[in-house]
Amino acid sequence: MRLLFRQLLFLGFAASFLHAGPISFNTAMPVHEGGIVVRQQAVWVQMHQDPSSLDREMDVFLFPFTLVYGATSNLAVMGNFPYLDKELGMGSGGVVRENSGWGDLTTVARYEIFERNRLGQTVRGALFAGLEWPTGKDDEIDSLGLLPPDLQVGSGSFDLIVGTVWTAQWLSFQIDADLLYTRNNEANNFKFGDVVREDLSFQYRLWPRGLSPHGVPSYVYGVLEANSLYQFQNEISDVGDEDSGGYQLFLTPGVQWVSRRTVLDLAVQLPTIQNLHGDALKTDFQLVAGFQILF
Amino acid sequence: MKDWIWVILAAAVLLICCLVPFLKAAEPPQVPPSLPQAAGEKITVHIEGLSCPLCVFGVSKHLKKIEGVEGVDVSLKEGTAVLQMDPSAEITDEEIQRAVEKAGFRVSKIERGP
Repeated sequence: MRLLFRQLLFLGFAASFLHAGPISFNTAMPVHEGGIVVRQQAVWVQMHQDPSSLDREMDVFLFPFTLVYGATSNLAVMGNFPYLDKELGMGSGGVVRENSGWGDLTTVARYEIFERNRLGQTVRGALFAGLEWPTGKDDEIDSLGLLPPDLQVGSGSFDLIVGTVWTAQWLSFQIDADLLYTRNNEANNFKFGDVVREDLSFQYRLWPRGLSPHGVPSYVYGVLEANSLYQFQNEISDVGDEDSGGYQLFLTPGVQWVSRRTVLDLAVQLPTIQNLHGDALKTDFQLVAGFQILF
Repeated sequence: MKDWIWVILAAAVLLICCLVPFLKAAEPPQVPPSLPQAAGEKITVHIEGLSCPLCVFGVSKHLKKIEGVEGVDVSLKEGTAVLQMDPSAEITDEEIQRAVEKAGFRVSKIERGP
């Protein structure tokens, strides 16, 4: 299988510290001490552009469930547990292979290292590190035999995640940026390529246009994000798979409704650049919808 | 793709639509700015960094935990939290600062009035 698939898991993970802010990745805004954020997303990824003659089509539904806890005003810890449903069709022979189940649990700690506050504005910077646990099954079979790694719901390996995220927020808009590296490890003689991901998000308050001196209205933000992702080649028995990995850039327009305790968001990730190696399947779009509640 | 996926998606969207009014109603009611001052001392806390509705939730939550605070009225535009106090209660500036810092923000000034 030759798919650039691991990005999906990062979306599930990366969107997890959200405090409004970006839809497809992290924010450096604090989760208040003792605060809990519950987040549920639904993601649909369609990959129907097959450069090979196999006429492959893949659809993935991902339902990441996330809990974030503010251990202190500077330290937040997070757990992300996705449910995945994957289906791969091969048009020529009518062959369909599918799999579903709970994926790998990701745990991450984020620590704020920079903070500057002014009236109606704040700038935050944070470092984060985490581990992806091999909780998802990685040995599922179907009538054709063992499913390939990209169709398994688990990676089978402990994978390390490190990164940094920065946020600048004003009353009417917000800018977020992050840089994330994932070190994937080998399992079952297969290693997913390491991933370097960069994201940039701009959110502009569309409504209300002005703020009253009293009270706290709900906001509607227009969101535009750019998600840049490079994945190194997968390795099979320590040999690089030339039909895996590559570079993708997504542009992500979206909309977000934010109140004191709840956030609803909807966005579509559109591939702008897809320089994938060999015959890797290309992405048509990724649709992301979700909500979060703050306690 | 399995049909049940679409059922789940539809259910999720429906759930979200149903939750919106409930969650909005469940949010802490705002204290009207015209609350009678005779209820007790009014403390105005100037907070730096407040810039979105979600920030306000954490600040309000921690300020309300202080004994004697009966209500909190936050203004995002002004960057202030006005505390309506129990007339018999006394709280220190340090308690207020600690509460705001637990929410991840900083106090720049505290004003006390009747």
